Amino acid sequence: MTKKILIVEDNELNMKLFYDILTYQKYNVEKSYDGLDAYNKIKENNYDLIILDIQLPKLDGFSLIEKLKKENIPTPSIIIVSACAMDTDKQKAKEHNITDYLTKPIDINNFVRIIKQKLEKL
Amino acid sequence: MENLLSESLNLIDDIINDTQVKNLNFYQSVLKMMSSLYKDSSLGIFFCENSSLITKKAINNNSFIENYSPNVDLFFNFFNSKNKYQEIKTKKDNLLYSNTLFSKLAIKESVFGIIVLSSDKIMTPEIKTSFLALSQIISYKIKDYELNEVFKIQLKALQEAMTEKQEAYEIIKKQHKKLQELDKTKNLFLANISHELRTPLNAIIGFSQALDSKIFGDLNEKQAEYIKDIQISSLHLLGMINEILDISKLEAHAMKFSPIELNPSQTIQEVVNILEPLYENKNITVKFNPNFECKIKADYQKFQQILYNLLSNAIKFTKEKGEIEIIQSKKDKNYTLKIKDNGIGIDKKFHNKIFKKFVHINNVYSKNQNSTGLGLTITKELVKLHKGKISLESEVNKGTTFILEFKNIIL
Repeated sequence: MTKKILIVEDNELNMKLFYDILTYQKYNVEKSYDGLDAYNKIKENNYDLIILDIQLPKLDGFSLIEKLKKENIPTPSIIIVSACAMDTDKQKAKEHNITDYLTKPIDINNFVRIIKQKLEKL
Repeated sequence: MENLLSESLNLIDDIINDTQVKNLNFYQSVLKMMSSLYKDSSLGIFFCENSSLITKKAINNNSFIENYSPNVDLFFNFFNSKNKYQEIKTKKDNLLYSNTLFSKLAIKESVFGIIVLSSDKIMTPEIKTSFLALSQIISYKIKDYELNEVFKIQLKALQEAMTEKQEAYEIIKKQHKKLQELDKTKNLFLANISHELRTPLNAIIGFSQALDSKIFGDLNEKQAEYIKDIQISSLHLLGMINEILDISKLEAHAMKFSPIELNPSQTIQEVVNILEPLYENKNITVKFNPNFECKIKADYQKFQQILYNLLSNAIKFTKEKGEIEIIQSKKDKNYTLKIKDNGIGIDKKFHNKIFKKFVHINNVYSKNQNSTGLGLTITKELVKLHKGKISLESEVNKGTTFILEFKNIIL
């Protein structure tokens, strides 16, 4: 069965890059441009993986994770892809049990490889 | 006589306690008081300026007496004598008065003035004794008064100095706080800048990688070449963004050190691979032994960055078709890494400076080389995080070798 991925990213060009690459890899990819929209989509759909940016309009990445947890909404696997390179954010990701933290700019080969590994484990 | 003494003492105390009395008036008041005690007499107090000699000038300047003209010679004779007290009888023609009593104003051996009483009346023993006693009392009272004045002046000066010091301290404290805030703002600004630059760079690097991987179709030769050029420039730009972020992290003491077990040969191989487009572009050969066996405890990302900084520097300063060699060695638990190039080298006079911030060596050459001037500063700090030491050997036009020594790092 085709794996379903949600990309949460507010930058139009980065969204296009991730979307094109993952679609090429034959995944079923959906787009979300802000945290609140992502929240609604996660609530209503069953994704295998979320590609999540941290700085987002309406609701930032970490707040989204906290909100889902608080409301007991089943959270799919998450890979954070953020332009924030400070150690404090990586630490914060760890506290939310997210070990996959990629810093922009990403290496797309690495990006595809990590996603593949993650989805194989499911 | 007792009346005379106690009365004069009371008067002196009154004068001293009267805080309205100014410095000059104090001595005049003492004289006036004494004149009221010794009727039909003339009194004078003369002060010397440095306890050694009363000059004529000093006498004139310090005389507070209004109707007394002293015989200066008599005065000097007495002052220079060892006597503390003297009575002189003269003919009425020579002096205004025929009987004169001199007494020195002194504390122990230190003479600071003379007090003089002149009268036509016979100086009775009662007058003499009281005059002597009074001169002693006045000596102490005057010294007390002067010391008190000096103390007041010093206290005032001290208070002023303390206020000044406190004010200066407050200013410094404020400035320090302001500087700290500015520093914080600067680091936050740099972190934000780094974030803002990474977002578009992600698209630039990502799309050129996508084209380079040819997943969406083949490229012709020129297109492939240009895509490589874009990637090299992007990597360069990313390196500079990372340096700016690192220096702000280091300055904010926000650099985290998380050591793990790693194989340095493997890390070197990874960095060499990343830099391949850069050195192949200049036809530089990079030599190292990938089979060197060693396990060290290091922070993976930071160790990688040390290598990246030194290797990219070596590539930058090595001419076309040059050679770079990476030499690893170990002894006991100590690990040494040398990065040797046969590039343009660094003049000895710069060896001490190159680890400082914003230093660009070889200015002429590096004009074409964009750099932040932070690379080696960061590298040194990262080596320090591993409790290591960095040094260099270099000769102009022969090449440079950076030497990294890590003690007790081998597992």
